[in-house]
Amino acid sequence: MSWLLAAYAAVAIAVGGYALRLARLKRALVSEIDASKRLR
Amino acid sequence: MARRSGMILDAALLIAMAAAFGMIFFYAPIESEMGIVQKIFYVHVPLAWNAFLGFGIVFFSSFRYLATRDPKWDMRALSAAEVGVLFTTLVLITGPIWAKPVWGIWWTWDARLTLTLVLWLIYVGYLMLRRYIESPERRAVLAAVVGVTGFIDVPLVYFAIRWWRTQHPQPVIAGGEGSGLDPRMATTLWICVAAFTLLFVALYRRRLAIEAMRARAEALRDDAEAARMEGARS
Repeated sequence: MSWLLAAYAAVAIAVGGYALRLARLKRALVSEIDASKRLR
Repeated sequence: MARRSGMILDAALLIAMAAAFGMIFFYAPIESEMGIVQKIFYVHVPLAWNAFLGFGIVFFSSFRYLATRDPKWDMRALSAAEVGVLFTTLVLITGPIWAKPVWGIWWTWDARLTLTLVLWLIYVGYLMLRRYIESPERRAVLAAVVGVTGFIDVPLVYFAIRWWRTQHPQPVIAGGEGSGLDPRMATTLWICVAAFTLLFVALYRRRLAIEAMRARAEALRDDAEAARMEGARS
């Protein structure tokens, strides 16, 4: 059972980490675009 | 519209994942020889097939980029490559975790495993190449060439267990006479394939949206720079 849980945990951590990274990138780009629009 | 379809996709993904894991634990039988560890199969195989899907998108988009030089194809190739690398990384992690209790070893240099590692290296190389080239056009062209030529490894990985004797198990889906799965295992596998395909699409869409936003941010930056130069001249 521990091998199975280790495999599933690895998938959950990697996919969750990647999704969080994408969310952070999106937030940073939204702020950058908003700031550029304000400067125009 | 895109926001609404994204929400529908996320809801479908959640339902499909809940169904998939429910079936893995409460419906699929425990395999007689390997025991419960065999259930790694239900994530390992869908991850591998969706990695192939990702690299297929890289191949097609790269080909289209070389034909049209339209940056949208380059963005599509990059997004698919990144999600494909994530999925292949997970194939290379879940495989050894399954192998250790079943084979007694983490890894062996058989054709399927080695070619999968080569596949991962090709697309990690693809992503690294993109980081090292400054000029956007040159970067896109060279990446597209790698995206088209690198795909050759995908059929090699797929057919490795049919062409050569490997430590990796022989195919259980479309494997010919003597192969096959218990019907409950097969149903669970297909639900898992559907769930992981939705996961692939959800991640791919998010990654692609980021590329589009990055292009927009760069265009706004260039406009601001041009306006600043204009102001300084007048």
